[in-house]
Amino acid sequence: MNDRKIISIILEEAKSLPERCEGYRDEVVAAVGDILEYERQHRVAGTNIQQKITDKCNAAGRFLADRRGAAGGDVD
Amino acid sequence: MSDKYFNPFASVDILVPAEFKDDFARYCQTGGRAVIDYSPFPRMVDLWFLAVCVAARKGLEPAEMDRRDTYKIIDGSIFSSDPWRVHTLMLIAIARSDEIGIVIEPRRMMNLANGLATAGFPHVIDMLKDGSAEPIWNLSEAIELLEREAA
Amino acid sequence: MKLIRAQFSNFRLLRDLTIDFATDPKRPLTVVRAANESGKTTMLNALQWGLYGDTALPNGGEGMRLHPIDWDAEADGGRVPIMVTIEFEVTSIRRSPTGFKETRKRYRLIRSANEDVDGHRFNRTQSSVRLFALTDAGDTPLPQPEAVIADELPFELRDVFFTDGDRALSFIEADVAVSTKRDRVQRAIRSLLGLGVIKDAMRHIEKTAVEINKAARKLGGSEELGTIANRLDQIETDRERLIAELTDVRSSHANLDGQIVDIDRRVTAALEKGDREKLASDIASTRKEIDKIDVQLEAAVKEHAALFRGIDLARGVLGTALAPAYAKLDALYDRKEIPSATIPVLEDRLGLGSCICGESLSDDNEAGASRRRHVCELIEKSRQADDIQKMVTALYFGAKALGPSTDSESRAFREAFGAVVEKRDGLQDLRDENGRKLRALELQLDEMPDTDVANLRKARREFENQKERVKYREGQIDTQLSGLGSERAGLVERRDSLLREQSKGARILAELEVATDISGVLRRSYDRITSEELAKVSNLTNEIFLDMIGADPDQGALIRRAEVSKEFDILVFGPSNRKLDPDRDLNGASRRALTLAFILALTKVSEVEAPNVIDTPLGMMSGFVKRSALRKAAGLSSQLILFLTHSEIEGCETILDEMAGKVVTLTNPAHFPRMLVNDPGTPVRQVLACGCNHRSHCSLCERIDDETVASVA
Repeated sequence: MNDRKIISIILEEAKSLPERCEGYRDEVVAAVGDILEYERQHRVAGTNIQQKITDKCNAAGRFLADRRGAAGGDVD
Repeated sequence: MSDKYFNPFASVDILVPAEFKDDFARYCQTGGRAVIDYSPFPRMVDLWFLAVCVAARKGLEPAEMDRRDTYKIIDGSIFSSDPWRVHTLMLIAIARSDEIGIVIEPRRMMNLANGLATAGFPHVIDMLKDGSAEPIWNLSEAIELLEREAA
Repeated sequence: MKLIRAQFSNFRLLRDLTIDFATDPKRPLTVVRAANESGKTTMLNALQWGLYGDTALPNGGEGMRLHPIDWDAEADGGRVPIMVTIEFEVTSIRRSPTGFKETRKRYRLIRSANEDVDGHRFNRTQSSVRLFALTDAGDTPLPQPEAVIADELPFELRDVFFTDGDRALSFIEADVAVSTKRDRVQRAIRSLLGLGVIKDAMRHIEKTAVEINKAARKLGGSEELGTIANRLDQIETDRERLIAELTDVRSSHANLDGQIVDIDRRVTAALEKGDREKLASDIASTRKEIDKIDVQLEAAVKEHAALFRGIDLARGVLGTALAPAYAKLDALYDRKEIPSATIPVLEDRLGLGSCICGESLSDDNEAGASRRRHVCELIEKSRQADDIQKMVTALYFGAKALGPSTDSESRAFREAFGAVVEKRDGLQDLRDENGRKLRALELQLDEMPDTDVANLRKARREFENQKERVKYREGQIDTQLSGLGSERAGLVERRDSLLREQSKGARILAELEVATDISGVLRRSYDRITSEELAKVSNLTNEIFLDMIGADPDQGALIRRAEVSKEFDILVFGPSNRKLDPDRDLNGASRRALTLAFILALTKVSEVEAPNVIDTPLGMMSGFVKRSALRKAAGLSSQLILFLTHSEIEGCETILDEMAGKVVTLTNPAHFPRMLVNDPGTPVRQVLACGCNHRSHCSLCERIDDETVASVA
């Protein structure tokens, strides 16, 4: 329900996240958007939601670890 | 009061020695569904702040924080809506250090405040416990007495 | 979601009926005009049965016949097929790289069941439901129709979307416990604001963090890391179990509250039956008084605690401790010893390469370089002095409130505390007095020979005991959870620092950070929606409500504002902010208006596109109030479907001209010859529909005297 409203609030809240590496905030925002979409699909179709969400977090974590590695340290 | 007031403590941590952790949980309403008469402080920072004031009033020496095992209750951004707390901390710092210049050193001021709070805690805990009623009444009466003595 | 069309087959009086609903955003109102006993409530039930099945029927459908009462089993067979078909449209919005993407989908839902009729007895088979997506390519059957409905029109929002005017008060009715009403309001708000999805996501993210933690355990290299990971794992399992138990315990708590309220009501009824009205009303009024005092006491205790975060406390405790600082500031001020703005002059000289006295500031020679260094130091010092000046000036003027106090300021804490003591003691005395009074009254009850009352009293005591046990358990779980919470915080800190030390730990740490960040964004969004949006619902409820009843001179003078509190109570206030009891102090029209206002505000704020189907909403309203309620409702709802009697429509015709996209009239042929002009000539009992609107009638729907019919209604 009222997807537009929820998404815009989440986008705003995500702005206060630390930019742990370049592009991190956008990465997390995209992940949250996808996760909510998974939840919605899961309500209708009963998917393997836990696995999908864990995969999403792992991917974002890999992104963060790789960028940090490339930057030679934590830019937090 | 304006919440746009410049708060130099915004990113400085408010620290409490680990040994007082249980007291904070017991006397502050933060988090749980506390019974107010037994947990009179609305937030942890209110207990911390009272401890700073009590130490300042009683002329206690600030505790040495570097060697203590501490934990952070919150950062100073919590003062943004209460400029008078920022002012109080600055005035205490000036009075204690005898230096006007300390006002541009938020970390030093907070270190002093944390030290004073640590020195003041045992006194505040006594104020909460001494008396025959619930902590909220014991504390109220103790503060009433302090105010009378000052007048 | 918008309803497009509904078809009813053999659902009580609705043997064969189709209704089209208005979907035009400019004219969102559908009016189903029908006299009493002409199928309005039946249609409301049928729509809900279509969407949710038997659970949506009164009493869960238990013993409720759905087939037409005059079904001729011999002629038409002993098995009656009952069917409701609903066509609806759903708009979904999702984020896409180019912005928001909106898609509209049409569905057809068919629910059917059979009733086997045997004389007066009948047996209904379990209903089955199918859902088809309607596309240009044809109708595609979809799996899990219940899930689609649960997503679009969640069952817990039934009270918001489907409202029966006569019992439109589920959010404010006095007969149920406060916790039950709160629960209904809270569930409605959370569900409509989409908080369920966020909550689910938060739960899943937490589990993900547990999974990542397991990966940390497998990392090896550190025995401590493994131990911590194991313990964290265990903590999560325990927390999950405790949280589930807490939910159960809280719901039994609410349930017991409801049971106790119910028993009290039955005791009152039994007493009234036994000519003991006086005792019954004394008990009821004493309980009410106690409830009122308890609320005031709670507020007074909060006021007491608020003393410990105020400036009066600081002033009282500090006494003269700040005096040295003030003396220093005053001296600075008096001496006007404020550092001068020397920086631009010094920078100028550096640029020129020579001092004011003519000496060189050039780097080329040793003496010049040394002088240059000296000027740079001076600039740095002045900069600092400038900062100090700014800060001290702000402090000097800003901290006046803490300065040497006036006589009254030096007593401020004592005075505030004195006022709190007086209030708390006064209220406590009043509470004790009423408590004693109630116990005395209850003693009278216990001594009554009436066995009904005695049994109810016994049951009440048992419920009270159970409630005590439940409350005790709630406390235990709370404590355990908070203990686990702090243990977890400590362990997480230690684990993260161990991970930092390991080469392979970086990746796991990054994953944990992501999980924490996502969880934080979700939690903050959840909190924000709950608090900010709740405030919006509250303001809009107030606005709509006052607009609706504003023209009522009787209520207009009494009611000042309505509010949805943070505790999810719907409150109404009179002059001087006096709290009114919606059930006792408001008349029927205002109570309906209040419920309607809440429902409309909630739907509006959530920006949810959903129908509001309301049966006889204007029943107890008259004149201007009725018109303003109707206009407001039609203006706010994205699709408003009203079942109205002829008398409700009276006086509102021009509004319907303007806002009604569809009007249909239902007629019960059984009303001939008493109320209908012509004999519809139908051999069976069934409601018939015609396309007549609020201003017209045909040979089927023409009534003998609408005035008379209306007065009966």
